[in-house]
Amino acid sequence: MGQFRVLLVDDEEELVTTIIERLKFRDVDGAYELNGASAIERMRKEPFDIVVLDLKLPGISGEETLRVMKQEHPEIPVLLITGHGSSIMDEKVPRGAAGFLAKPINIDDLLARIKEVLAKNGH
Amino acid sequence: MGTNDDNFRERYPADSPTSFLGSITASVTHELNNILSIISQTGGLLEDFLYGAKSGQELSVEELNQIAAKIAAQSERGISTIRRLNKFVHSADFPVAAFDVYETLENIGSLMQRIASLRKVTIKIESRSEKIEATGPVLEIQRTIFLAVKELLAVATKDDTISISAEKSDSGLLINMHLVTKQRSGCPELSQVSEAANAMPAKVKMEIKPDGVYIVLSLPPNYNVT
Repeated sequence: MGQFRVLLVDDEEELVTTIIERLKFRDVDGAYELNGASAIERMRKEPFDIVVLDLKLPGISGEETLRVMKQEHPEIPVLLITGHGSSIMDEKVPRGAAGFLAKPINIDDLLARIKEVLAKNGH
Repeated sequence: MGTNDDNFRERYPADSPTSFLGSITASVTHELNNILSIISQTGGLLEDFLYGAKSGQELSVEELNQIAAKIAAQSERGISTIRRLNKFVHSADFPVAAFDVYETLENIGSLMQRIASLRKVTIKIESRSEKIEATGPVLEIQRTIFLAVKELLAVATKDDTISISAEKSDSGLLINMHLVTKQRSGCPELSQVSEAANAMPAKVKMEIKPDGVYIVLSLPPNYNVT
């Protein structure tokens, strides 16, 4: 059992499976979903401490996924992932999000941000 | 639950050649960023394994092979994407040039696929029955196709397909774009497509049938279609 449980949401399967494996090396328990709708469903069934969500998703957009997640689980922090040059990088963090990370993600930066956000949330 | 993407049309502007180049390049560089992210994380995983091996964990040859295969596959994906992008941006080199019609459709179709995937739609270029060549404003033709496909994507629903094909006709060259759908979510707006077509000049026609929406771009005989 890891220190905490992360749900990673991104449509690049090879990317999320590799990040999950690397998090396991660091004693972090992770799961992934490839789109917003399945991530929302997964959160209804399983407990997570934090969500890491890509904004560019097929089907329901990342913004809409964030909105539904925060409506249903306001206590679970959501970190956003954006591509370089995304307009969001120049704007404030969307309502409900705990912050954002730019792709490509450095695994140690990701873990540090997760821990920082969880600490703020009293984890 | 809300809709897929209410700002879809505005998200990919192509009201000028410059903004069209920008929309395609932004989309493709996002994909390249994903590819490099996978390569970077996979390389990192290899480092994790080696770190574990130093601490006495067994190194699995099978896992190392999988890592090597993943890096090779993503590198190939990146090279292919860059080739397509390079070919696309070079279509802006000359206002008018000779081009292979199907090669151009395959290239722009592939570059548009990432945008289509965000709508859960597949773009399919029909296999060619013969080689077709033409001479014309290649960038403008691709922009008009992009605008038409964008309109089809805007009304498409999950798991739909957009089929694109080309054929020679007495009146020149026809580029057919067919959204295969049973349940479209509205009606395409053709004003921007028509404006781009008229400027070339070319004609655009739309038909809505039970099996979906058809948009036909008709390029006149002075495009030297052979």
